[in-house]
Amino acid sequence: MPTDPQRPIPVWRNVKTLGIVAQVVFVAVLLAALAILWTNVTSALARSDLPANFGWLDARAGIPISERPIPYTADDPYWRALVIGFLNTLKIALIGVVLATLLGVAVGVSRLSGNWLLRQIAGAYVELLRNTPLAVQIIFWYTAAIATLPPTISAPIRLPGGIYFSNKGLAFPFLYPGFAFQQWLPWILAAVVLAAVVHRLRRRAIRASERPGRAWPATLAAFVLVTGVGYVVASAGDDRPADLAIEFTADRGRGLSFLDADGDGEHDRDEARYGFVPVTVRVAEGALTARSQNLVEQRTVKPSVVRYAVLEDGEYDAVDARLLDEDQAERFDLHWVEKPISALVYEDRNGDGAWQAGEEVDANGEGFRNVQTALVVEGFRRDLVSDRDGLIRIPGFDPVASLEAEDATGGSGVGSVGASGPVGLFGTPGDDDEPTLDATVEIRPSGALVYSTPTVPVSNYEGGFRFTASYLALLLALVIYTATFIAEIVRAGILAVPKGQTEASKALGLSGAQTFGLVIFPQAVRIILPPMISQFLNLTKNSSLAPLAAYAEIFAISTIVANQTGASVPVIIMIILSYLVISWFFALVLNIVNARMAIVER
Amino acid sequence: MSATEAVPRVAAHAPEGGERIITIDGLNKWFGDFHVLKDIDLSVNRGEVVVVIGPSGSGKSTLIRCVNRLEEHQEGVITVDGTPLTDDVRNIDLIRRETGMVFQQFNLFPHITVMENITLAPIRVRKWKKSKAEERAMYFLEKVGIPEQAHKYPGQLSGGQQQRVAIARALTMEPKVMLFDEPTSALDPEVIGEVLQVMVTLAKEGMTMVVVTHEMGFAREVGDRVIFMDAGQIVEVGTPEHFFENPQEERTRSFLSKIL
Amino acid sequence: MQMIPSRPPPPGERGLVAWARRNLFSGPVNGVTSVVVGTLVLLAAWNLLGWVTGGASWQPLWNNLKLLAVYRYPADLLWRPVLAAGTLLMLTGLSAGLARHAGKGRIIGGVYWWFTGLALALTAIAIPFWESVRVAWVAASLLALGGYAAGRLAPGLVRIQTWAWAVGLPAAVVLVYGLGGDGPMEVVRTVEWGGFLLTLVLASVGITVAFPLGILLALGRQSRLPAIKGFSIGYIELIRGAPLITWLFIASLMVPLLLDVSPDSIPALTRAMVAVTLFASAYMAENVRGGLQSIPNGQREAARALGLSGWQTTRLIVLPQALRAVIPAIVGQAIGLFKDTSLVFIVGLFDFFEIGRRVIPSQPESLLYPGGVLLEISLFMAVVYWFFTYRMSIASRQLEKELGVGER
Repeated sequence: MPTDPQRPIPVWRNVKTLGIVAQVVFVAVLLAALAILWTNVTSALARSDLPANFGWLDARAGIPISERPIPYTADDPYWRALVIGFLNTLKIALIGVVLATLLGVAVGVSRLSGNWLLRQIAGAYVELLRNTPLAVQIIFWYTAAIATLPPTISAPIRLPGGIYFSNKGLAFPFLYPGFAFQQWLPWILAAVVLAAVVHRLRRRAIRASERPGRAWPATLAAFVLVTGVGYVVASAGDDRPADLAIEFTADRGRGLSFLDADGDGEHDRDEARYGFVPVTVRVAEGALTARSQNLVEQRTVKPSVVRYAVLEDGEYDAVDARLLDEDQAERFDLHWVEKPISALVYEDRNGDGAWQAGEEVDANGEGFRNVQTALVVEGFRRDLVSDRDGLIRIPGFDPVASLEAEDATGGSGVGSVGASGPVGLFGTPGDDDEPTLDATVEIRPSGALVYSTPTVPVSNYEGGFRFTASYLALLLALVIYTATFIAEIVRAGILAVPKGQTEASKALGLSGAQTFGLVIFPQAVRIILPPMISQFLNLTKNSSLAPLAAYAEIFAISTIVANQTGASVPVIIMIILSYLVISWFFALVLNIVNARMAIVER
Repeated sequence: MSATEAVPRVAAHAPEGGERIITIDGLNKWFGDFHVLKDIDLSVNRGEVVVVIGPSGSGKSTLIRCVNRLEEHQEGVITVDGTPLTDDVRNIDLIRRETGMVFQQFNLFPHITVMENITLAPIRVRKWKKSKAEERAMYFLEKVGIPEQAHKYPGQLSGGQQQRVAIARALTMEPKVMLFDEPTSALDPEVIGEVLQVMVTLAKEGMTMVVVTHEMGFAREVGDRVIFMDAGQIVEVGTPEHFFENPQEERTRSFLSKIL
Repeated sequence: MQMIPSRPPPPGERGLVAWARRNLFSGPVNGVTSVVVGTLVLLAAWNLLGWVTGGASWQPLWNNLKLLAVYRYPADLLWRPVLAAGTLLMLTGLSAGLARHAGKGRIIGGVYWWFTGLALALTAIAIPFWESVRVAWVAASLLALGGYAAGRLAPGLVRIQTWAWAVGLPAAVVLVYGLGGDGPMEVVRTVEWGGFLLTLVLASVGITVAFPLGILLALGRQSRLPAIKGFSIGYIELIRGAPLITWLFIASLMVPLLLDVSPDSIPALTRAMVAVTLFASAYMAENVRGGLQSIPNGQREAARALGLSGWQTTRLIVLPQALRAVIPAIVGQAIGLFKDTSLVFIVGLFDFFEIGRRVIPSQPESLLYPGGVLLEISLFMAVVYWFFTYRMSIASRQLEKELGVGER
């Protein structure tokens, strides 16, 4: 029955109010549900007395993290550990995105190649790896592939250019900002501005000349020139901060560079550590005694070779090795090998005082394990660069081993020096008057950038830049997995450009390369970019599988923090916020790209 | 308001004595700030065929879409077959049931067969038995001349056939009024005739029709009244003879000279 | 005028040599690429083959296949999941047999033969080697073949097809879970479940429950009511903003808190299912939304003009078309979810992946092998996952083709 227009319409039949009623009911139900859950959570938390606030953020974390883009030790607070986690997520995401794009584009283009074999292989790669869970791929790379590389401790793979590759990861030389970096920064800014101006002028000139031309060579030249001049000028003077000091602990072979605010020469907790300081170590008198582990290969039967830290020619006057343990010294002898610096542990069974073939293994043909030896280096000198935590390590010192051997090598000596000049003498005589380390340490001006090369002192890399095995495994898996999706996007994008476009440009006389570069690619990019950006986001989110490779990104660290503090709710809030920030960032990029890429259409 | 008062409103009322089936009084509609329909007064008698013409963007489609509430109007009163079009869900449902609509883009449901397209609403809305709905559907399919297509999917039909199915779909609901929103504009020229033929037959059988179209031949042949709209208002109303032989308004003349 | 007879093309346009010249050696760059790539592939394949047949230690894997398949599911009750698999294959076979052209070239036929082939292969292995499930596998294979034969020979069964599924699916579930008592149908609690069984359960429950939730969320996101729209957008974007592994972690910590019960009272499987389902529903919603957006507004208008109510319009006109348009995307999501179940290790479940990663390598016999057996296991796991996901992606492509014809 039609209603009388004069009579008011019942609320539940009025299209205007119907929606409001529905929403009120919906919101009421939602709020009620949330209220119930909220009371549940608060009462559960109250009963379990788990922290529900963020007060624990300032407490000592005590979490050792080997991947740290900023200075960090286990004594630092929780918030710093979480920040490192977030930075590590960015670190793997950024490099992963670049590599996955390169690989994905290469594979995607290969799938359309005229070469049948290449096409098939690219197709097989995509089909095989896209359909295998990322988790399986990560454990494959982490535990099955990289772990089977040679161990750092005995025989890292040495590539040209000072690059090391082993089951501990990949280490290569790297440039770090030095003291003068801040003086150099204004020059870089000026170079950017100048390059922009030059670019614009060049573009205008090219347009005026009415011929095709490139603006970027001039732009690049301007940038390189200004930054280069700036580097030389900035690095010229003595740029050391006035209060820079080094505290050195001889028995651990370890120094710490820091800004000595109170001038007492000792590092106090609130004094900032200063990383990447170039330091020269020179052993003034005596020798550097480095204890080494016995390096009999664990998995295969081999003679008892002991390999020591890698020393280059000119870094020492003389080296020798000796047995540390007196009991062992009665039974074993060392056969010294100069190159590579190493020694053979043998049992002088025929008593001739020299090594004879066969004496380096026991009756079963196996090497002698756990023989304690030390390397004695005389006249040791080396340019060292402190690491990002301000720590200066003298290669060959295994801190743990040195502490254990305290009786044999003497007590610890501590001293410190100011910034200028030759800086000091360290070392304490041991029981037998043999100094463990007696060295001068000198801080020199660094310039704007510091070149740091990796070394392999005992079991792990120091210096340079290092991708840990965890990082490499996770990166490989993420890149190889994501690239399959990017390859499909690229292929579809190129195929989506109508064939008529190729035919039209061929008909206009453009070459194959010109057709691709000027016609096909610009159109394909518009189709490819938006889905590609969501793959970048996927890669970033997938980096949360890090616990499988023991990589310390935000999720991995958060789970540890949640376990240690019991503050599950606050930690969960922070995890979600971190990922939302990343997602929003990618959404922003996507929107910008979409807005700029839209082809003008009517 | 004073400016609008000064312009004389052209009322398009049906002749006295007939049974008013649609009355529209003082209809105004805005899309945001844009005033699409301005002071529309219009009525339609039972059995009348009203043709609405005008340039694109003149608001003629919006006008008929207001009649069955596909668009919501802000001012004025619309009454269909005695039912005022208020915010009451019950009234809106009632009016939609009694008005059939044919769209420019056919809007057949592609995932179900022609027969299911036609019987869907009678079964669900009119609550007919399936057998009755199918019987009526076949009757109207025969009427529009394509009974053999009943069990095909819309995608397998030509545009003209699809539009005829759409007409049959609207008719099977046995509406009191049929609204046509440019029913031939999306069709190839050679199939426009078959659709128009169906509409002419329908008009001659006494169906009440409001037709928005550019087909002047149709307007001349079966239209009882022609309404010319421009810029959201009714500019001129008259019989086809009056309209095509002797239009009064300058704007009407200029429009007709362009399309005839 | 006389017709010119067709002549064969000049020599060098046909045959293997011509094919190779066109596809492998069409220029110097191409030739070098072919040689280099071909050599590398052959080398890699040769090395892999050598390792698989010679260097690899497959013994620990072979001895622990039961763990990988079902984990701690009682050995004397193993016939139940096997028969459940047989039941599912029988139903698929029935549908395949009843389908047009006996399901040839159609998805149902492809899926049926693919998995029946797998079942027959397992039966062939079971007969000599696996005493406890020997009879069960033979029975399952017979069920699978019987279903197909019945479908082929008795087309009349088409009337009971829906009923068969309606009875068969719950029967399979009951077979796996049990009914109660101490007899052969005693209940196997979910803490005993694991391995591939658990992976399948998680993936299928996740996708099935997420489906209706996702549809509701998608409709909510398209709603013109701000409160409902806002809630849907907020939920979808929040869930999609963080990765699944974090939601699993969150669920394992929060579900007991949210319900205010002791953590032990909620099994890990339940927590994982909550997380997986809530997660999948947000992605499902986005897939469905894509379909909803592809439906022209005229469809809705035409339905409303015919007098259908808003709900009728959605249910009868919009959703059927929208869902049809996004079936491939939904299959894609199912593939993703199947792979993603490997993350439930974070809540302490022993799914297929976790057993391969942690349980088998820590078996005493695995420790005998220097370097461990993870390489072998990860290869095996990759092959198994691949077998299932690749089959699904074939199905998805077929679906795209089948849905493309005729009806739209």
